[in-house]
Amino acid sequence: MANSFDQTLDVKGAKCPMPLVKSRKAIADLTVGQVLKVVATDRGSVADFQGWAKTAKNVELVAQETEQEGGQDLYVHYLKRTS
Amino acid sequence: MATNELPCGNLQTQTEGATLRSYAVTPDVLLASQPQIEDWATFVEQGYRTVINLRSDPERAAEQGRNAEAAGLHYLHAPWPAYELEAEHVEELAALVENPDTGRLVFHCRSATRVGLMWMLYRQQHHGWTREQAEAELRAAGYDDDSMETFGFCADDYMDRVAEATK
Repeated sequence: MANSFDQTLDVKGAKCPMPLVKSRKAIADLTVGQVLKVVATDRGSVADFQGWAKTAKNVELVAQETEQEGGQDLYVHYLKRTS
Repeated sequence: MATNELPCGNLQTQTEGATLRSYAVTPDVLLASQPQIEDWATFVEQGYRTVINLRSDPERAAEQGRNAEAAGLHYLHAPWPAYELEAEHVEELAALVENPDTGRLVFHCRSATRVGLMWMLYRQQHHGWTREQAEAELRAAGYDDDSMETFGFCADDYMDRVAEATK
């Protein structure tokens, strides 16, 4: 079943920790309960978002998945603002 | 577009196994990507005494710490949040770098980018360097334009938040 989301953040090509910094800024613009979909090409973003969600006070990592686009792996993260 | 939902653990293991990338910013400080098990002994042979791991996973750090200590290194796990650094994190790094007991240091994360960012902030905040001076040191060590773009964006975010916190 497809994950639902309210906003999308494209960080394809961005290197760690830029995807997290941009996501932190984007989450701040959401209302509590809304979900941000982050699309990254950095494989390490998988572990990075897991680590962030464990320590951040206002973020829940709802899901992670991989997609293929033009032969390139995309790493997709769904983050909910919780407070 | 195909979509595959995978267990997080499976995805995380895919981030391991890359070849070491390293950047000697000074004769005594090596910024590095994730070392592999064979790298610990190499660091010892090269005269490094201490390893600081910036990555967040405590279980992985504990295992790697055991391997590094077995090779003769002093291992520290310091999971400072590179996506939301505060001034005290940079000062904690400065205290470790400048502690004589630290000796020659390997400072690593996954791709060597976060440690490069922290090194830039350390130079600017603790030594009073300009952005240009800090960038020049990192470029001389081998960091590329993409890394510089990341450092610049994240350093701007850091400086904005530090300025806001001190208002």
